[in-house]
Amino acid sequence: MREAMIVGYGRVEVIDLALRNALGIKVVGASTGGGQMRAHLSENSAVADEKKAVGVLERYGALTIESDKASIVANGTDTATIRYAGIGTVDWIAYLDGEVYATGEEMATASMITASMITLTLATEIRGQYEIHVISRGANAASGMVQVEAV
Amino acid sequence: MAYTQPTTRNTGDSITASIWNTDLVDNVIALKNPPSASYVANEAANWTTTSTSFVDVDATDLSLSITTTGGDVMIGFHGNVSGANISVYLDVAMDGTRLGTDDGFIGVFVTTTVTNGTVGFVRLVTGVSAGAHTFKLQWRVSSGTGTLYAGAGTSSADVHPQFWVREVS
Repeated sequence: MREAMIVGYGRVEVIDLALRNALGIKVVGASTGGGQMRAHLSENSAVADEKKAVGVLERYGALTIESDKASIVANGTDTATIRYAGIGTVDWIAYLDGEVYATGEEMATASMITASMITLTLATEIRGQYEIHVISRGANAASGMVQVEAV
Repeated sequence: MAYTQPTTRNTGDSITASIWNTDLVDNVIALKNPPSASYVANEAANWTTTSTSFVDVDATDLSLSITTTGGDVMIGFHGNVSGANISVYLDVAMDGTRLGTDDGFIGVFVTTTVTNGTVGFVRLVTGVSAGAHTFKLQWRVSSGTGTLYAGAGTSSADVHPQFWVREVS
């Protein structure tokens, strides 16, 4: 098994998804801890895949994700609009107080794209600290994150 | 102080200070302090993995090296793991080869309730050759994400696992 590693800390589910977006079935998984982020690649992976995995790890947190609000009311109707500067289909993972709360993907339909930005909407009835990670697809998969508090 | 196999003496043999010190003093000291290494976790963040194949939990902190005189080595570990209705498997690799083979030493079905995932093992490894050996804790998950709590300040889960190895014969 091949392994790629960089120093840093990230959400393992986000790293895993970004790696799978970039390297597909060659990814066995990801690990974090001890101040490291690691990609585990299958036996049939090549040195080039290892380098690609390092690139994905290095692009963790590289995307600029913005929210129009840092805080929303947890009443199910107040919304925060999350914007990602890109027009491709993206995956997203939302954490609530550090645990995976919801996951999904957003197709880049024309109605979602405004000025070359994809918008996601967060509304909730559950209070807490939300962390929304957006993961791009393709060989250069990267991710970014924004926090929104629901009070 | 390394252990030295003592020589069998016969009636009439002269026991010099050197022989006494080698066969008795040095060996008693060696037996009192056998080759051993341990690590108690107190990390900045918990360990997590999504790997479905065995990988090192932490190739630096949970990698223990001892130089043995040859014989048996005992390995121990305790900790708490969690995940969303998944199985977490633990094993130890000695010099790069997993000792447990297959699904490892132990597997436990865990939920997000941390205290349900108490794991621990003691393993006797026999016939270990004399010399330097490295032992690494490894793990994998059946699916999803596994977390090993590392004394990182998690609420209600600020527990400190320990991994240790010691030559015992």
